[in-house]
Amino acid sequence: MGLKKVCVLLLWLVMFAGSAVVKANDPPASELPKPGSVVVDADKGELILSAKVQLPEDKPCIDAFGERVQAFAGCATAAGGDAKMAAYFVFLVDVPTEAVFDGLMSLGARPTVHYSIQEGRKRSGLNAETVPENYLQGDPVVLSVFWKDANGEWTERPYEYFVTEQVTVNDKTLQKPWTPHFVFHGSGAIHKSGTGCIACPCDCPGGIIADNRFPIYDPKPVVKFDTSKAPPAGTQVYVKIRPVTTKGE
Amino acid sequence: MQRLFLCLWQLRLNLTSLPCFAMLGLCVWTASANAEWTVREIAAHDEYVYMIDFSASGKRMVSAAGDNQVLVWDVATEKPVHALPHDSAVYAAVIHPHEKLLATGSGEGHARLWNLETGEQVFHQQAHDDAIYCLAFSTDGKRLATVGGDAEKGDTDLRIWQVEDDACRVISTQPGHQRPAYGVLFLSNGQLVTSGGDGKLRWHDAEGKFQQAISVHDSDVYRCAVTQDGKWFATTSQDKSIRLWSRSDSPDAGNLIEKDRQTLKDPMYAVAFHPTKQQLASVGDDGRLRLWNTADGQLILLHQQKLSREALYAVAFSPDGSQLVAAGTDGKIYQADVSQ
Repeated sequence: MGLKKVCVLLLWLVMFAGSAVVKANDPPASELPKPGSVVVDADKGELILSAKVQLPEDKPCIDAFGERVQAFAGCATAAGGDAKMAAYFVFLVDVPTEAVFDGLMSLGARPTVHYSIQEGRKRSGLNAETVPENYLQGDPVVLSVFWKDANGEWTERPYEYFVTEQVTVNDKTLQKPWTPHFVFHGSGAIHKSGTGCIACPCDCPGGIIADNRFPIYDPKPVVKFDTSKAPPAGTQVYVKIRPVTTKGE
Repeated sequence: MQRLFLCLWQLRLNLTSLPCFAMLGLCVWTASANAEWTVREIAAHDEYVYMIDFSASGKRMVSAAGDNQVLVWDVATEKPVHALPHDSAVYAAVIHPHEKLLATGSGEGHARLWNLETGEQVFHQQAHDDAIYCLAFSTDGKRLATVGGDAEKGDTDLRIWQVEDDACRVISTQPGHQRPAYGVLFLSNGQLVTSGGDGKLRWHDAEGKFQQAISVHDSDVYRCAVTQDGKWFATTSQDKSIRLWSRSDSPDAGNLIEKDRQTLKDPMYAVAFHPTKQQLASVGDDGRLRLWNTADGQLILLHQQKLSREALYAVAFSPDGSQLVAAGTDGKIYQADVSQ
């Protein structure tokens, strides 16, 4: 076999293999959850949640910079009732927060510092007395959202894709990529907050995942969720959560 | 609508800052041609405000908030005269009908009595295992009722207290809602009504004994209100509706008839009846203050005004009905002139 034929064969194999692994119409998960259920994929180490897009008009941080404690992805129910913050979520998940918590636990993710909202309020703010325990803590997690677009193609975006952060430096306002550090602290399920929040844009004990770059509640990052980057209201989407678990000694 | 000067809503309040806060924390919006209410905006708390109450004379107002404080306001000067410290968020504060005492309930289940004039704490007790979300004095001032719970259920018992000059003692504990209780009120005949996360109102007789539970909403029922004659009720809920109820003269104390409901876009949190007119004010998650005409047993919207980008949890009429006060997530107190 000549070198030219070998190259052609290799090229063909690479192209074929590539298309076999990343078919445009394959969903970015091995199994999709039925409504009202979650998929715990132990092999891939990820949790898949079913959700619908809603566009919460007039809420903080929706198409305008602001501060908020409420998550952008959250559950419709929590603590045995309707989630208190359900109207604030863009990605409204159809299982209780406690089911999301259980799914992450079953993947081996572990919360380490968690509080009730009451206790969190006592520990809020960054000051000279702030200690490590004033930060919610747990295994880091990565979130993404995927859906079928208008052409029937699956699209997946990191949670961070939808949001821009604003910071002020020397009185000048700058925009930057949203760079949260999400950890699974589990507070909302452990202490039954009832908010429904999954992943909060600040360090808030009402949800189960928080951005713990700052201590509890304050300061809050100034962020904007760009709804033009999200699929239309009513679209069926899936939220994927991948914990980075702590194993061994 | 033109904002005359910016609010200092993040101004941290403490006793030493009260004078400057009072001078700087005011913000006035001018009335516009379309008959918008003139609204005064007062920077009051660093955290969510959960309840507002006026004294019967209208001279004092109190605000309870998540910054662990209750502020006692002089209504005439619009300045706080006392900042009452607590160990946790304060969800409820009500003024005794005789205006000598103030009762507060906190997130850790502590009930306190304060001397309204001096701001001195005169009584303190762990009253519930979980948060106290609401409390109310009977119209004669002899009893105090407390309710609460945690997000799932917790201690939802109704506790009724005998009120003395500088103390309280529990005289009755009644099992409560299946989920947390967010509201309690006394009727003029001494009966009690509580509202809770199980979507129900629970009725108790004048002795505190449970009589009847009535399903009134499809989700959590938050604050409820009753007219002074006890014939009309209003309820708010996580199901985004406000409902108006009439109560018949039937011996069945819980005989409520739904007269009307208005379903909005967001959860509704609190309502207050006008002291003399057939009107109802409401607030909710949309940051809007609404005024409804209830004259014909219907909720006819008279006026609505967006006060805040964030949720409003508390609403109250001044005793003369000329002022409507609302507050919520942003810690400000919004005072609307509704005398026209």
